Amino acid sequence: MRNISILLKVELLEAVRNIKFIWLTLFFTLLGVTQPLIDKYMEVIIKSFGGVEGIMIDPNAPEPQANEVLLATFSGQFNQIGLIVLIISFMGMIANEKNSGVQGFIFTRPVSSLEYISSKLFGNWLISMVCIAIGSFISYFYTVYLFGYYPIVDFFLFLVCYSVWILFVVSTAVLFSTLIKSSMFIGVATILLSIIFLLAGNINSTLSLFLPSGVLTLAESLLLQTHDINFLFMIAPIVYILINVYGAKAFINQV
Amino acid sequence: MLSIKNISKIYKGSNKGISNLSLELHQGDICAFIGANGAGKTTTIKSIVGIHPFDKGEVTLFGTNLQANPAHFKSMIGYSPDTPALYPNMTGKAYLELIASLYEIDEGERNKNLAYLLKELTFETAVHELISSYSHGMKQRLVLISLLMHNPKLIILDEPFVGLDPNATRFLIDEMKSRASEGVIILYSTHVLEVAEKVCNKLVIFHKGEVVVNDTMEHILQKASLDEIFRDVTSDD
Repeated sequence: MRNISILLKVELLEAVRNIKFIWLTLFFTLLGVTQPLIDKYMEVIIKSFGGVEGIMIDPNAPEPQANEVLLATFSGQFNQIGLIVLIISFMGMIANEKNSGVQGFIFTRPVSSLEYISSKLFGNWLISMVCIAIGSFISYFYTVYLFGYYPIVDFFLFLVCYSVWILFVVSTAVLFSTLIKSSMFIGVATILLSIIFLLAGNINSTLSLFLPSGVLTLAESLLLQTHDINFLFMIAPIVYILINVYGAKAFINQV
Repeated sequence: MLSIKNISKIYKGSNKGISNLSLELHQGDICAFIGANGAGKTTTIKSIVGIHPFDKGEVTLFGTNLQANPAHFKSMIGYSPDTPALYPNMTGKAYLELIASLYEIDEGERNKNLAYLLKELTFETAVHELISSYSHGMKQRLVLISLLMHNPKLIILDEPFVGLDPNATRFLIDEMKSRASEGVIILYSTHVLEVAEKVCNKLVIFHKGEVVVNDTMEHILQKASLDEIFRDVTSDD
């Protein structure tokens, strides 16, 4: 545990020195404010571009509620372009150290492979979640300002569930990092697997119970305040994360 | 005592590596690994320090088995690789603090050892600079400081004199002798036979992944000069 926190600190300091915290936060802030702005001002935006022939916006359509806009922000922005950029930001976390020899050098110290893997997992998850959380709360305040009140505690609970999904995504990248040498291929494999799980999770809710993306179904229920909240959706992602971590430990092939 | 019993490591996709290597070193021994490039010196060293898991065999240090208790084994060694791989965005000081934390060195001991090593290796100013600005020799010196800081029982150096200036080389040779006299086991690979002849009491010569000579320096030098023996045992004729 002690070594994990020491290596985790290194991971966070590297993110500060590489200004990763800044650019990733700016990126998620930009993504976060895009959706409420589009939802609120679509008609104005279209008009300002001279109008597009054939496009009609129903003047009687009800204005979306704040939680619906927030859901669109996460499912439409954060889980698509956001997820791809996020994975690109950490796809080299282990491969780069492996190729430069830093990883080998760390393993000559009294550090176990599980401690090393855990520091990478929690370090990159923490960096990702800090950036996502800042972007999310800016998006939340924007949405509330434009579309009306929504309880911040409920939004926070939603974010907690979403963070479990991000932890799964980081753990997948960690697993692929121990199997593949090229950062690019690690990124592509992680993106593809995450998208497959996201699409499979939309097929039906029973299947979602067995998928890591099922936690997003739970997050959605919490955000939309529906009555079918099922915390069993938490089990699958935790199992998948453990499989990824122990798989990475087996594949890292280190004394 | 360092005991290496029948370790083998063959790289996938080739027949290169080491096979059935056995070696014993006692407290106070200074042993040089010599051999042509690709003879198996670095593979053996990387197997002992835990970078390359070996296919079979066992390594123990003062009764601690590397595979059974890697954390304790590694806490007793200090290792310098042939090419130092460090965090480029860190300062030397931050790096040393990181290493000291991993070895759980007591703050008083850390400060005392650091003050001595930084002074002897004239690194007091450079330690505050970013590692990315260091030359190869400076990185070597930083690695030397980091490996001596926790007073290891086994020091393993892979071609330690490459890139070191004469003062740092002198310091390292003196330090090796001084630490060996205190019971530390020192093992290093080198191509500089003259230094090995003066410093070491044991010698291992590698040829094509196998140990062809493993004896005391005194015994070896009774037969012929080190240069002659090296050429003799490593020639393929």
